[in-house]
Order: sequence, then C-alpha cells, then structure tokens
Amino acid sequence: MSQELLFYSFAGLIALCSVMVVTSRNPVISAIFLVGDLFLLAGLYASMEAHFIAAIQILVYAGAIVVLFMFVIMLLNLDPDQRSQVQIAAPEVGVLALTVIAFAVVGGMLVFGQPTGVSGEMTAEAINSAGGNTFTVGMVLYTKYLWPFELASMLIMLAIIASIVIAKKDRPKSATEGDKRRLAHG
Amino acid sequence: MNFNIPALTPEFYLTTLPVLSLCVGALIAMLQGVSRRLGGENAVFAVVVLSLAVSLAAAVIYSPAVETSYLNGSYLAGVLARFGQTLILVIALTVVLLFRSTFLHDRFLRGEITALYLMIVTGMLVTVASEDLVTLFVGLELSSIGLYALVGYLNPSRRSQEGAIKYFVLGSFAAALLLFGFALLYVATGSLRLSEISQAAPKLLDHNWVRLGVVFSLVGLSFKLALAPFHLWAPDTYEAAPTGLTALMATTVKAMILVLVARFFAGSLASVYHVWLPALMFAATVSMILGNIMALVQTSLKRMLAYSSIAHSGYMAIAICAIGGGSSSFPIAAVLYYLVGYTIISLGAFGVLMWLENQENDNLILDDITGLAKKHPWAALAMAVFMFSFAGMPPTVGFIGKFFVFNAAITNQLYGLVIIGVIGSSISLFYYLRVIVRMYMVEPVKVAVPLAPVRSLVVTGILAVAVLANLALGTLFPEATMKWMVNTSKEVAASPVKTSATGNISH
Repeated sequence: MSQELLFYSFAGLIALCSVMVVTSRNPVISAIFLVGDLFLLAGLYASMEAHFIAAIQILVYAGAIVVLFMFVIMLLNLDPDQRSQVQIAAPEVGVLALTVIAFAVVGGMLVFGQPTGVSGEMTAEAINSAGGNTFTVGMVLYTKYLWPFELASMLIMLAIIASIVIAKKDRPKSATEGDKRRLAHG
Repeated sequence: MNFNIPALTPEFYLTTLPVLSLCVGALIAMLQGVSRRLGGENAVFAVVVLSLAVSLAAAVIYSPAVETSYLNGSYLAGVLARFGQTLILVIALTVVLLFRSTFLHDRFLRGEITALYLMIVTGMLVTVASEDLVTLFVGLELSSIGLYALVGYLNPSRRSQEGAIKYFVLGSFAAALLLFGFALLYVATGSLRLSEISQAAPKLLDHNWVRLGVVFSLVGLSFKLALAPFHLWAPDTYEAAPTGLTALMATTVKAMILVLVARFFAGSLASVYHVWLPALMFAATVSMILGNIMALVQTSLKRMLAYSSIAHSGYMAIAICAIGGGSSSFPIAAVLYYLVGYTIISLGAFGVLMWLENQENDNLILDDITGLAKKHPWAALAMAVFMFSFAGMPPTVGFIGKFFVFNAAITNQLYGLVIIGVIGSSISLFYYLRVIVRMYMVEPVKVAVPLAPVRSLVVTGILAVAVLANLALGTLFPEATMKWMVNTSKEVAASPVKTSATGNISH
C-alpha cells in the first residue's frame, strides 16, 4: 500500500511538473521544472527498487543534461520582450486532452482491476541473487539487449548530426513560387 | 539468473550485413561531411550508393529458408524480414539516384545529409527484422528522428520547417502512445518478445490491459501509416518536404510499418482480433472516404498525392482487417502485393514530379502540368500510366492489387469495407483522370515559373522501369508474384518464430 501511495504521489507530481515545463513563459523556470520532473522520475525508479537506474537518472539527466539546457538558454539570451512573444497556442487544450487520457487510463485500471499478468524475470529477488542492480543492468545490456543497445548509440549519433544540420545557418531563402502556393491555400 | 553470452558467429555478421554495411556507410559519410577533400559531391554519392548496394546484395543473397532469431529475438533473418529489407533498400537506392538528377543534388549529396539518410534506412531495416519491442521502438525512432530533421532542413524554407515541426510534434506524441502500448503489453504478459507475447496469449489476451495495450499500439502504428483519423500531419508534411523525401516517406515508411503490422496483428495478436478489428475497420473506412474526398479539392499535386496515400493506406488496412477472419496467409500476401504495386506507382509519380520541378517551383499545381503531353510526351505518358494505376484500372498493377485486397476481404465476409473501398476508388477516378485530362486535352496555360526540366538518362531509366514493372505485374506476372508473396507471408501466418537455432551459448 505504501508503495502504491509513493507511486501515485510521484506520478501526480511528475504530471504537474510536466505541465509547468510547457506552460512557463520563462525558459529558465521551465528548465528548473524539468529538473524536478527528472528527480521525481528517479524517485519512481527507486520506489521500484531499481536503485542503479535512479542514481544514473539523477547523475546524467538531472545533473548533466539540464545543465546543458541551461547553457543553451543562457547563450540564446532571449530578452524579455521576445520571451513574452513566445506563445503556446493553446496550453489549455493540451492540458485538457492529457487529463482526459490520464483519467481514462487510471479509471480503466480501477474498473478493470489489477493486471493478473505474469511478472517478468527481473524481480527484486532475482536481481539480488544475481549480484545486485549494477551488475544485472550491465549484464543485460551487453547480452540480452546488445542489439538495441548498440542501435541506441546510433540513435544518439543521429540526433547529434540532426541538431548540427538544423543549427547550421544556411543562406536565407526568399519565398519561392512553391512557398507562395503553400501559403495561399494552406 | 542465467545470462546468455551472445555468440557473435560469422553467420551472425553475415545475416546482419545489410544493417552493418549501412552503419559503416553512415560513419564514412559523416567524416565526409567535415572533410574538404573527400566531401565532394561525387565522393559522397559513391559512398551512399556503394553502402546501399552492398546492403541490398547482402539482403538478397543471404536469405535463410527458416526464420531464425538472433540475440533473443532482436534480429530476425527470414523471408519476411528479407522481403521488407530488400524493398526498402531498392526504394532508398532509387530515391538517391532521383535526387542526383534534380536541382537539389548539391544540397542532398553532402556528407552530413547522406549520413542522416543512411541512418534512417538503417532504422527501417532494423524495424522490419525484429520481434523484440525494445528494438522495434529504437528502430522506429531511428527512422523518424532523421526524417524530422531532413524534412525541414534539406532545403530550408519557412514552409518546410513548418511541415517538419508538425511532423515532429505529432510524431513524438504518437511515439509516446506506441511506447505506452508496448509497456502495457509488457505489464500484462511479462515479455517484450512478440513470440512470447503470443505464447502467453490464450490465458491473458482477453485481459483488459492487453486490450488497452493493443489499442494504444494500433494508434501509434496508424499514425506512422497516415491512417485517418491520425493523418493530420501527412498532407502538410508531404507538401512541405522536398519531393524526393516525400517519395521516401510515402513508400518506405509504409513498407516498414506494414511488415511490422503483419508481424504484430497477424502473428502475435491474431487471437485478440476482436479488439483491434473494429478500431482498424473504422480507421480504414474513414481513411478511404476522407482521403479520396479531400484529394478531390487539391490543386497542388503533392498534396493530392498525400491525400491519395491516406486513401491507399485505407485500402491496405482492409486486407489487414481480413487477417482476423481465419486464414491469414492470403490477406497478408494481398497487402504485400498491394504494397509492392503502390511502391512502384508512387516512386514513378513522384519521380515525374521531381524531374519537372526546379529551384523556384518545387510545389507543382495542376496548371503547371496542363498541356504537358505537347512539350514532354514521354513524361506525360509515364504520368498517365501511374495515374491509371493509382486509380486501379486494368491492365496495371493497381488493378490487380485492389483485386487481391478486395478478394481477401470478401473471403472473410467484410462486405461493408469492400463496398466503401469500391466507392472510394470510383471517387478517386475523378482526380486521377483529371491529371490525365489536363495533360492531354487542355492547351497549356501561362504559369509564373515555366518548367524547364533537363533530360536525364537516369530518370528516364527509372521511369521506364517503373512503367514496365507496373504493366508487367498487372498483366504477365500477377500469379507468380502472388505465389511469392504467399510464401513470404507464411512465416507470420503460420506459427511464430522457430526457437533460436544459433546465436546463443548457454552457460
């Protein structure tokens, strides 16, 4: 019961923080809520006895990545006037849609009851007897999930190249005939 | 706990060679992006074509008769996986060749862009050859994230960036739904492998968590397939993207997702078809009606083809609906046949558009091609064949494809879907034939930017092959091809994957 309580409080706070991330006008405040999000997620992992993943979550995401976010925000250096023009089209609609989905899922779970499903092989006891969280994660990454693990490195490489391609300043292009048509009836 | 140390045998490297070759190619292309001496257009072209060709050769030559799984189902080598990989590689190679002959050749043939391109194709090859949900998701993301960037920034303009942002936001949302579906399936069955999920089936598949998981997965996949009501990104993105990428998106993504859907819904989740059948029937119906009606009012050709691709997704979904009814080999074969036909037609039609476009006008409207037959009779003829084929007129592959799909549906008593499909096709006749009428029977009108395409042997060759393949599949070889497709589909239609023959040493 206490674990369920932990889960629902963490999950609720995560949802709240996520909403704040997308609705804050000030990007620094968004980033800080993102840190909160990632910390709470780590708490969620910890409550499921995945302590290693929780620690990594804090070190890598909350620590390193959000700091990089902050650097980017700082370097972009948007002045307050520009910032107030950053408008999210309709945050209410998004929040409403998410709330509906969340209620549908949670309500569905309450109505349908707990899953009677078989648990996977990675139970807490099995992990402990195999030699602890860190050992198990390492073993699984390099044996069972070797192929997706290597592909994930490819994915990160792709993301880096894609962001370079996006950030590269290309010569500005005036609107062509095709663009005008798109604007005319789009 | 027992960890199996994977034995990476020579056989493993041989069977994953299609993927590995593209990875190596992507790394070389990446280095070319920063090198002045090696980053010339021809060098980049050579690397991208060479790695795609090696990959294609490996996929065609090394094709095991029995489906074998490696690394706990992460990588499958079998007839269906090889079919998907071969089809995707042929399309990718064709698109590179087409790009080289268009005005975008200097923008496309740069190291960083071709690196992205090769990684996108890698992701697709991975996706069609896997039954592990983690790998499937990584593969899908690999192909999507690269596409988001290329759509907006291959030839940056406000228009293409708008399309890219729409694609990105909606695509991420769909990916999240798909992931949620996978997670629910895992919660309910305790496994991430499709074959194990289907083995857990009899006891669990009636459970509501499985239902929820199936429905969420279906929504995620429908989005990628551009099935209505998850199609909203498609017209904008297809119109905004450079035409070569539109051709790639319209064909390879469909191929990838349909192979996946066949594995998913025919192989593993066939026993819960009563859950996904109504949802998919609804999506198919809406796609066929909406796609065809919206295509009627478009003047931009790319936008028209985008709506028509939504409608064609609907036709393909009919055959997938027919899987539920019992014998699933024929419906899958029908959908694969339709896919091959659709690929040929789409590549041809987009190829004609790519050839006609220029830097100032990369979004052709009906006025641009009015009277095309007088100026470029061969291009007009090719386009006419493709339009006939899209509309499903004999003697083209489009007709035979629709015939098989409707046949599969009738065998499984899905009469309503067939009626809607036939109504949809007759609506589509109007806008496909309008293109032909405009090309042949109307005098040219004055347009803002006159088209001045340059003769190109490569484009002519590709279009000729597309026209001939189209007619050949429609007249001479439908039966032989269909036999091949039935053979290809047996793998998922019969029992799921055989036990891992090699690839693991137990300790």
